[in-house]
Amino acid sequence: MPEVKRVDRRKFIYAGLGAAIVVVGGVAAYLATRPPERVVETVVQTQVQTVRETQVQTVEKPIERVVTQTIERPVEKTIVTTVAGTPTTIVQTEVKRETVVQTQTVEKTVEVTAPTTPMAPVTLKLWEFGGIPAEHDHVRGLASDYKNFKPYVTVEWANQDWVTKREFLIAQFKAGTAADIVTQDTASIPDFVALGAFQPLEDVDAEAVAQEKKRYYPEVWDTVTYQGKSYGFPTYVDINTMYTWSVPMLEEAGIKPPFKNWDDMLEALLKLNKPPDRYAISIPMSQNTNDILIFEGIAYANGARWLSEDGKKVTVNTDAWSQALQFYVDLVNKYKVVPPGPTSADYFVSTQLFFTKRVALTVGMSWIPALVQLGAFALDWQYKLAPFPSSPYPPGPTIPFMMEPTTTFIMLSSSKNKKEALDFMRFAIRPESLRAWAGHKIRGRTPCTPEQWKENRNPEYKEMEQLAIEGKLFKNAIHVPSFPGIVEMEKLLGVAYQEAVLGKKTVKEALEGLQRDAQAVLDRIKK
Amino acid sequence: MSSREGALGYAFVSPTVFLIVALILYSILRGIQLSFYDIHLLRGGEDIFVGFQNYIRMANDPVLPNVILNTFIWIAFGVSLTVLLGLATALFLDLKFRARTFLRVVILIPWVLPDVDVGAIWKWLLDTQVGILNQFLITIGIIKNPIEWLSSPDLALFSVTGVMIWRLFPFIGLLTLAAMQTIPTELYEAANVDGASRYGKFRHITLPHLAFTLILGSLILTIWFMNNFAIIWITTGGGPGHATDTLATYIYKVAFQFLRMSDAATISVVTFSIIGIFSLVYLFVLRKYWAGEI
Repeated sequence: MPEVKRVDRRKFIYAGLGAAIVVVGGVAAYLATRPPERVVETVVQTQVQTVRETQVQTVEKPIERVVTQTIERPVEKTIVTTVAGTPTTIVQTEVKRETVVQTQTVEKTVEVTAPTTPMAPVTLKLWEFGGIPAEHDHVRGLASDYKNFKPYVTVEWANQDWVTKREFLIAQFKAGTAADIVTQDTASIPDFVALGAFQPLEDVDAEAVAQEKKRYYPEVWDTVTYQGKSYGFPTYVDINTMYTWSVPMLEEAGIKPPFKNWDDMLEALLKLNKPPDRYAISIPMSQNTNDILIFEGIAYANGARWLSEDGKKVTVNTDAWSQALQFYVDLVNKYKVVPPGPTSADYFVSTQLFFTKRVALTVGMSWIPALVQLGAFALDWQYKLAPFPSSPYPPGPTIPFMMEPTTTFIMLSSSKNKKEALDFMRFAIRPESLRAWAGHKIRGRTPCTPEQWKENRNPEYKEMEQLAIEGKLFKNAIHVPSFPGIVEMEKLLGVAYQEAVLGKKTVKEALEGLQRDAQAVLDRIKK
Repeated sequence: MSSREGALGYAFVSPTVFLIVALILYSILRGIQLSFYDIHLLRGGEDIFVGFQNYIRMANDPVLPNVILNTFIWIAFGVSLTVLLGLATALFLDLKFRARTFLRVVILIPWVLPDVDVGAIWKWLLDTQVGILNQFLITIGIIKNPIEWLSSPDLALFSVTGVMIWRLFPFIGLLTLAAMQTIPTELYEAANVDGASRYGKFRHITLPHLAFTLILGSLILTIWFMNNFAIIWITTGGGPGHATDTLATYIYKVAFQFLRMSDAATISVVTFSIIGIFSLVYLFVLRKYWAGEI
């Protein structure tokens, strides 16, 4: 048995004391040598003015910026108190604050909301769904800047998942824990209005909404309007559907887009197709919402519509839909110009094939440059975008494209501070803020106001710029389909086009099944 | 123990028991109740009692038979292959070799990864165009054209089943390995003296001793496969078409994407019943083990 080594008790106590002295000494040394002051910089802008006549005024003049530095420094304070007749000295350490005020003058254009009488503190919750990091930075910055604008209002920003936004928001709303403001897409406005979740903005301040409305293209404002009420302030629009092409690849093949119609496009695709090394075009055909919208955009440009004019009948068994789906099926199975496995290739994989030069064109929306900014792809070659064409003889009313503002500031009806929420939403869409979405900070977002287009910094959209400034770009463009039940119908569409492309059903069978199921969805909601 | 002490014991555990029973029972009963009402969040208004109409509609749902079939394939292939692979892993790791401890740790990696990560990793690995697996198979000359692992309706369900097996086989492997350590070595020594072959020892000593563990593991796997949502959702989203939709993903779609809460509750009640039947079979099979008779 091994011998047990005995420890001398005295040595043990000395060692313990020694360790305690070292710890106490360390703490004392830290306190003595720690940085003497912590500087908290608070930037207070003094642009808040009281304007009685109008609610909003734009000020264009130098603004004084007061920089307040609060210096914290530990000081000892001696307090003498008497406990049961015996003087007892208590030494306390307090933090003394010293404030240094500097004044700077900056040139800035700001909007001023007034009047701002002293108010109780207000906290607004802002949820941003999805987006790219540059967008998060900007919106988060708006939330923190607002404290300078309205010191009594705190805007708590949080980013939430894009894919599950619908179910997340419904669950939060039902639980009474939803944010005051969300940045959302507009296609789901009817669904959320049916749920009672979205707040009509006119009911909060009709005059303010009317002023903001004037800043947008009428077609863009229509995207946030439902049953005569406005539900949000857009920051940009996604244009749907667009194709993107590699300028060097098409130049090498002697092809000059944009294409007039599908036949024109097909001719070019056959010329560009060199499988298995390089296919002509990648088309996302997964069940991802974006992919379904992309197909929907092609069908709509060909004259297809989900519903009859009275909104009571589903109309997906028409020639316009049938032609669009047949075009998809033919590109994959007949002409084989699409890489294998398109039904599992979502928009990101599809774009990846394009930027890695495995295809000459890709189909998506106007957000393609946003993926480049995301850092997903490094480019040393040029690409361009154009709206997807229609068939040579479209059987229905054609449109240039569909559009949707996918980052729209929307107020929840459960907000306890609706007026404050609206003020923040207006702050978020000031010209200097919207500029960020015109390529100044965030790329790949199509400007949606004339002010934004005048300052456009997206080189990919240069060809649209003049049309936009002349007010012609959005002419006849429509909002993506938006009515109660559309989300379920779009999911059914995703299944239908996959079944047709995979040969499980003919185009006719797939669309007839879709017609039946979508009609059932509509009937049940309208029941 | 006196009756007073017994009463005190019951008093101590009763809050926990009450909480657990209440939470579980409430969920089950609420789910059953919802299945008899017509609740569509987009329509609003009052909840209407509709009796068995939801069940009738569910019986006529053209998608549901395919979803149930997928669920059975997913469970049958998944559970049986996971058990076989887990057993093989346990037998391998029971051998004495130098890297045994290292491998016992490495084998745990799929098991410790979250479902979402596993799904995301395999979604990229199995991608037809940009997936590493196809690139590897093409490079070494096994295939010429990429295989549509997740986009072919005939293959996708088996591909995601493979992902789930990869995720769960370490669990069965370790469970079985632990059980193998409890088998008395004297039995193998006696078998050696009798000249038993390796297969004979496995068949007559190892396997009977592992039977309980494997049945237990199979039941747990069945429930896990039945309830797994994340891996299918991340890899295929239930597609292409409905090729990989199981009851778990379908219930999610119906409830949270289509907002048909009562329909989702109805399918959930059916799913719950199926799991309940499995559990009863399991309890029946293992009743002697639980009673301590074996």
